Amino acid sequence: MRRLGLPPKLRLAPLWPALAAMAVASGFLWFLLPGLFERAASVQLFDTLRILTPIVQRQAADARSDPRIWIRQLAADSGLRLTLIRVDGVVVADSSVEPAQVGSMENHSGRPEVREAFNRGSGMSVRKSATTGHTYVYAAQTLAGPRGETLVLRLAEPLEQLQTLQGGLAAAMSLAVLAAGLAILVTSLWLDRRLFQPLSRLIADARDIAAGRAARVAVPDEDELAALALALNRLAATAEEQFEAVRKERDHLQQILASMSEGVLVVGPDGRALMINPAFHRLFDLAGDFSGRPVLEIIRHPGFSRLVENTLRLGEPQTAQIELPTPERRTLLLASSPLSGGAGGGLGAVVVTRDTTELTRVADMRRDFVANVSHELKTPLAAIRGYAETLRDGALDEPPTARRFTDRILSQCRRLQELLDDLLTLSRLEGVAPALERESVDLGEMVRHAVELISAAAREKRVEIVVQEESVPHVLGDPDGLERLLLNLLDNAIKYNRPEGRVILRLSRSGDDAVLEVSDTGIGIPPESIPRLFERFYRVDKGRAREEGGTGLGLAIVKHVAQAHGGQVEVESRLGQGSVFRVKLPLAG
Amino acid sequence: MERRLDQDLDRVRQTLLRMGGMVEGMVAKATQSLLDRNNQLSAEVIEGDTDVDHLEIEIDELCHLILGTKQPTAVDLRFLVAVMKINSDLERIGDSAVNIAQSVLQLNEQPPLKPYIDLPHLSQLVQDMVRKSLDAFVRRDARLATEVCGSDDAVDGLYKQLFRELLTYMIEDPRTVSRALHLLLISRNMERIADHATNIAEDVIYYVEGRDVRHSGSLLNEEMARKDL
Repeated sequence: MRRLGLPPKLRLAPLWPALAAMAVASGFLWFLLPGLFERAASVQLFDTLRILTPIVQRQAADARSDPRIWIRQLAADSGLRLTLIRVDGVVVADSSVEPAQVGSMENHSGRPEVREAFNRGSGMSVRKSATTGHTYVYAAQTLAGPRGETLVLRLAEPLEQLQTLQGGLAAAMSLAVLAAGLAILVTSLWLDRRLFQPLSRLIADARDIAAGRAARVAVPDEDELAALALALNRLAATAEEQFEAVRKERDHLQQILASMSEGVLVVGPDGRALMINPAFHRLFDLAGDFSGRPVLEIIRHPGFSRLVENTLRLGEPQTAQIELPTPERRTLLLASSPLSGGAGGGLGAVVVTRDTTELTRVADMRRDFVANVSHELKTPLAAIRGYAETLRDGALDEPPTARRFTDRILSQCRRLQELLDDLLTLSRLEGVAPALERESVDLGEMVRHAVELISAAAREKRVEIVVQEESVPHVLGDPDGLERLLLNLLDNAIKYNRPEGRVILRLSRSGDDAVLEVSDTGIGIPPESIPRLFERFYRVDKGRAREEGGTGLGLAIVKHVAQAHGGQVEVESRLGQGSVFRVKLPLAG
Repeated sequence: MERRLDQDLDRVRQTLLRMGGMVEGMVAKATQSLLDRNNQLSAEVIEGDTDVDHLEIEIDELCHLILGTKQPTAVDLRFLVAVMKINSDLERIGDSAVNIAQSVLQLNEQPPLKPYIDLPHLSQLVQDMVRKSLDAFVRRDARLATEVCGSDDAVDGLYKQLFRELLTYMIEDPRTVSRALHLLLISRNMERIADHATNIAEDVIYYVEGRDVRHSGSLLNEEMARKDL
């Protein structure tokens, strides 16, 4: 992983001005210094010339002394070279030449400094001497000779001397520059270590945080940078907290959505899916990821897409009910509402879907139930009213008829009573099932009691009741309800039996259940009726059942009682041969 | 930015799917009206046909417009060609559903002939085929499309079975002839719906894979298959 810090260009920044200064200084040294020295030297030489001029004039005036001698004495140990030249260029005397050789020296009228001196009074030049072979700085000046003639006095200083001086100065300056450079380098390195490197690390750390690779930056020792690092860390911590809060909220929302039994689909303003929860997948039998797909590609049902389109277009909540044909027929209730943004712009819509198949079925059943109850109540009431009206209109005066009619009225009243009792039992079982009074019930005793109660009806129908009883532990439950269950089953078995038929009541044990089995040798139940047998008011053969005086609620009560005891009811039947009703009840403990 | 052509093609796809959803609903309602003897549902099916017809024309016009102005190539062209074929197949499925609904209205005027056993099975199979063929189109799923093509044999088998059974009814009892004939017509229409679903599936394969699987076994087809390899 590359750690990104300050670019090297920036880290070396303090070095650049220092290097520039040093370059300027060195340039000055190498290019300007020699000229300066030469000028300083010539100024000095001219000063010396001015001092020497009167001395030379005096010496020249003394005709006894030889200029070739005294000029050597004059120059003596100064290291300077003195030359006296006549106007025609002939050298009169030279301090660096033996007196004997002066006469053989070449004519000096061509020397630039001499020519200049003759022309303007003084002159100078730097060059190699043809006489000595060394490089000199020359300075020449005219002076008046003893006989009024013009002479040129020339003074020369060897350049080596100057160069030595200059070398020393250059060395000193170089040393200074070098020292300064070193100081700058050290400062730079120190700055780099103390400022730029920690800063680089901070930047790299900050980038790592931004990229999610690190949680915090390392805090450096430097005060200012430490403050920056701490501020960065606080920023990171705040960001982390907020992110965590947002993430939690999102997870929370997602969990809520995932655990909902309602299907939820969120679509964007363009009608494409943003989010689909698992229940929605289940309800519509979807497989795969559909986010980003248009609604029509997810669910083709025209009602569904219309709902979504209307919600997006109108910006108002919509509801719809659709039927799904596959895989099994289901009714779904859809409710959608728009998601509106702050500034009026629509953000899409959310559709909540509920499977109302069961609800619709229950609602239908309830409606049927009310219709059935009204119908069942109406029939006996109409009969009672009819008989009563006939009595009032004159039948009262015929005692035998009046008697027969009042008997009928009584029997219809009994029927109404039974019906109401059954309804009350059912509503009691439904409404307060959990509060069912539970006590230990001896099924054997209950069987014997029930058989005793029903025996009169059995005799009347010439039906034989056979009891096969195993000893079975007690069950926990409502004795009245259980007896009602048994009586209803026996009643049916007798009612729908054939004459001379037989009812077998068997009490046995199967695992943890007590099993009550009532089989008859009656007319049996057609297979298509079996699933509906336990519905209220369901009659296999409408005419016949009413004739037998049933309320249509007997088996519904049986089922309810069994379920309230945690048991179940099974039916087997063969048309024309008889039916078997089997009730399983869990044993106590 | 999305290409303008993509937007147009998307619109075509959405419109076709809208029509597909309607036609699916019609087939479902038609078979439901048969099994529940529900005249209301039959009437709804017959009513729905107008909308489907309008959509067919709309899709055709859209396709022609795009073909004429955008000159699509390769997969876009195949898509449009497939859409135009699917479009007409869907419309015919709608017509078949209407035929079934009309027969159901006639049937419901008389007592039921017999408990239906094979017919619900057939209708379920046919509905599955229509649904899967459209799913294959949506998901560009050639494998699902191939599966649809394979179901056609089962439908044909069931149809033949129903045909023989209904023939027996008619021979045994002339009073059942009109009802049996209606049932036969209904079965025939379901079988046709299955054929159209198969066509749709074949068009999906053509669109997705660029190969023609109609009348498979032809020389041209084998040659194309070789080239694919």
